[in-house]
Amino acid sequence: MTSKGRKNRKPNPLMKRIPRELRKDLGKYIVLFLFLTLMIGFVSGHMVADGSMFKAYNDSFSKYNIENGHFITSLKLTDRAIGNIEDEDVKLCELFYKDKMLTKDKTIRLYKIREEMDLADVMEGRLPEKEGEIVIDRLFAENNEIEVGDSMTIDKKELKVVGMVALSDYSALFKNNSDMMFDATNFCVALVTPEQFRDFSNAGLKYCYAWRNNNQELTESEQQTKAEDLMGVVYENALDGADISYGAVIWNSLMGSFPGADYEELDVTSGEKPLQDYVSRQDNQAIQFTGDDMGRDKIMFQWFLYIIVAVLAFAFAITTRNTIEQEAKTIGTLRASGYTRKELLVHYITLPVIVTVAAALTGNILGYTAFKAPMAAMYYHSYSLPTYTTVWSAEAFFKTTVIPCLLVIAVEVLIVGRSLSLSPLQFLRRDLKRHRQSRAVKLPDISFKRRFLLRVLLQNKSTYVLLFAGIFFASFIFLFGSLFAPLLHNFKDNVQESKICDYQYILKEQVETEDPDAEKYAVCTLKNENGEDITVYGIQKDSKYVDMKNIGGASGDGVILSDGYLDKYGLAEGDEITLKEEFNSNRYSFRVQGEYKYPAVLCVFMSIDRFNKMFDMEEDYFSGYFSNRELKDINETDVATIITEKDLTVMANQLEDSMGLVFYMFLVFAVVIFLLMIYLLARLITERNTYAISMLKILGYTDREAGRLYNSATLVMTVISFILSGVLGIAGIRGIYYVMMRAFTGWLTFYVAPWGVPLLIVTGIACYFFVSLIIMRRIRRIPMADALKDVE
Amino acid sequence: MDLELKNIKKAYGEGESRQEVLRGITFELEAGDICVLLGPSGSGKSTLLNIIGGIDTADSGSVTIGDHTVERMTDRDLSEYRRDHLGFVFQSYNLIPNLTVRENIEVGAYLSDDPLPLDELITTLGLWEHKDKMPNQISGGQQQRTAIGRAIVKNPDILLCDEPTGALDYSTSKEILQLIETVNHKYGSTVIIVTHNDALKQMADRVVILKDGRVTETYRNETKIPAAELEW
Repeated sequence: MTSKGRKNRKPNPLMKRIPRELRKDLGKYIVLFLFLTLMIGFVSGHMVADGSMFKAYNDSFSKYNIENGHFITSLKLTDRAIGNIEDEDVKLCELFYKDKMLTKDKTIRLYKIREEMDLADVMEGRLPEKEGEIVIDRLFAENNEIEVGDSMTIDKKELKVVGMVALSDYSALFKNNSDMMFDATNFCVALVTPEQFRDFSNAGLKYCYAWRNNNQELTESEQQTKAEDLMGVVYENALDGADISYGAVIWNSLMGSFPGADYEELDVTSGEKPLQDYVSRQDNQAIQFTGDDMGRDKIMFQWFLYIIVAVLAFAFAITTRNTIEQEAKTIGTLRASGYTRKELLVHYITLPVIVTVAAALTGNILGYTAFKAPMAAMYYHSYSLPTYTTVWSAEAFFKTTVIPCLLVIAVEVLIVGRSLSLSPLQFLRRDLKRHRQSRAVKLPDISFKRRFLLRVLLQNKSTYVLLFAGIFFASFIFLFGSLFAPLLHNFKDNVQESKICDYQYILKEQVETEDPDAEKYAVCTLKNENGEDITVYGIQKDSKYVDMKNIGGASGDGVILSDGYLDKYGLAEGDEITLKEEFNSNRYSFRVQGEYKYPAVLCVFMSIDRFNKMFDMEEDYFSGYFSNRELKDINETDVATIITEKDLTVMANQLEDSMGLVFYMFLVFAVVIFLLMIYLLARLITERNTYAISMLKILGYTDREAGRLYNSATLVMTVISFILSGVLGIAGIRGIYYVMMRAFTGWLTFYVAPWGVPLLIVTGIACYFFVSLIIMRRIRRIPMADALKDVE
Repeated sequence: MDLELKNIKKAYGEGESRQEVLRGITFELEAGDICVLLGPSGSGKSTLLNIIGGIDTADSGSVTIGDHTVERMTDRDLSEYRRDHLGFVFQSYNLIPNLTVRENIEVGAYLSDDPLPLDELITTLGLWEHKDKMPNQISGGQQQRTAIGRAIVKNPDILLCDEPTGALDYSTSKEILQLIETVNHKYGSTVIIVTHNDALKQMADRVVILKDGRVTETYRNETKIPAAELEW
């Protein structure tokens, strides 16, 4: 076939339609543009803040000489011991601290100003220069409304706050590494001058030593291996020069992560514990949690964006498909005249792509300017991060500009391309159904209005499928936003109801109390197959705190599990679980014999006799007391920790504090998507039926009657979509929640507030009625003349 | 460009509902002719036009235009063929509503490397005063003129007109027919007009009369009557 040749590359005159189409549907495109811009700006801002913050976080390891790990000894190390440890190609640094109570609930951990390792980033003010001055963690200060210049009273000494700092070894304010969650409201780290530090009593003093590898080029796994090797050396030298020996392994295993099994190989001969804590950087939640959480957030926001863009791309495509239907005969003529599918495809997808590209670029500019600071503030509100500088992120640009644009193009090409794949003759005949329907769907003998409604539903099947998809997705966001606060409240209520006692003492030494309210118990921590800490309790027979009637004696393998444990891992009565000691091969298998309502902790209950037998303890061994009263006759130095209700709800409180604002944002965002989807699709249905509405008016239908005939179908589908989305959404969220929570330490019982789904439906219907007001305005404006003209 | 149709057959449907629309159409047309395909509704004339135009396919038979055999062409070739050689005018004008008269004609011009001079054509079409108006601001006749302009601006070898006056009143119809005649004379395009209006046969060089999918009569007019003088 010969052709006249195609040198012609003039601009396609069809493109002159673009600005006119834009003007014609300006409102629609502005709404879509703004929505996409805000969404992309929000995610871009988050990615920029996340990337910049993550870089600052990573850089802080070298910038502030962050430790490769630390350990706490019972006694101060001798120079010889320090020398022996440093021979392992590490540098040791004293990071002694004193934990002091600020108030009944708040603990402050005091350090001397650091000069070698774990240096402070002074974010406001200056470091202390003399006695009576203190710098405190910026986030704790923010949460407690403390400002530079304020005074704090610690141990009856008044100190002036002269600065706010971020300590990268406490980017997440975990008081103990075994805590379920950090607590930036009730736990603070602070620096004072060495003189001031000495001036405080030694109560709560910890001989903490941080180490830093001389070779900073080691990989993560090499660092971890080195930390494990170093532990033996530390252990051997921890009691150097002292006439003391090996003690309660079980207590140690509770306090940190170091291997009980290796103890037997060590030559320690008397009653003192050599090590109280040993934590490598990789195992240190106070250091690692922030980085891990940032990574999780980034992935979540990224997918959030893609799903929204995909939904909008479908909305764009369906709108375009509607235009193609309306212009079918013109398209047929153009195709018959020689316009190719590709030329028409490019024409029809140009406007959506332009809007997306413009939104992506504007969103990115906003991301780097207006949105970056609030996103960074979100991190600063959760974590004690050092000062960051904005880093240009090609990845953020790619993910928030290139991918959304490609996504829109892909969806448009797929749907619009498919619409345009019909033959010119089919367009000319307006025969746009891919599969010809032999005859109209027969409807039951019902009233005219109902049949009309069903016809509208059948005519707009694909539009309503998209409406459902959009509503379903937004409902997911809505439910996440609306259900999380009640879930946390419910959890806290449950903890309140099911707590074992008001004061759960864990002792360093087996000391007796005269308090008749106190009841002895034994406890240790093992790891489950997922590497999560499981607390194992040995409980007195006929315990007044834990109802253990069905637990049996010391024989058999049956144990009672807390409902939190059962729930998190989907366990049931009769299942077998295997727990192991962290650093050796000792494994313990148990059969689940029952459930105990104790959602706050993942734990296993057995009788104390069986506990002591299983872990080779003396018959009368115990490691703590349950009590509903404070035990006055126990010396503070003999107490490792006291677990109160506050400790059990710290995770819920922290989540509530750091995520509260995000959940409200989710709600607002979801409502915007509801409005947008309902508006776009209701408008599309009205546009598609302009001729019919015009004709109805000619026949004598009022605007309201004509509008109702079409809008009622949308109302029905909206309500059905919201009901289905509510039911499916809850099921989906439950699934995601269980997967998501397994990544966290601890457990929050899944709970759906009874008003969750009704609230979603009511909000959805309210959105519909708001949109229907706008649509009715459009219907009123449809002139009757439209039905009398055949102008395309 | 000569046109030759040989034994064109076309049926729609299957089994009992099968309906033969064209039952072996054969005729030839010389380049530059005006051909009127005449016949009652359902005689197959529009189907035949669509097959000639490559927007429908024959079940058997062949359509040859110059060197091109339509039924051997791929989808892509057909697009090229229509783009380079054919112009279409339909009963409904199928203009793009948000492009002006001039821009609608430019849409046709875009398809050619060597389109007719636009201003001259618009003047020939009698649309100069309306060139910047939108389709809904002009009459049906003016819209059809615009549609003709869009079809011929790329200077096609063959102009295919399917009931071009079907939606117009008598005087406007005559104006449109005169315009088609002018295009034929001025630009040398072969014109095929599908109509059920018997009077139009008098303006044709070649008349093909169809009934029930068959050519019942075909002849050349020795003397043509100008469109302006047609009466019906």
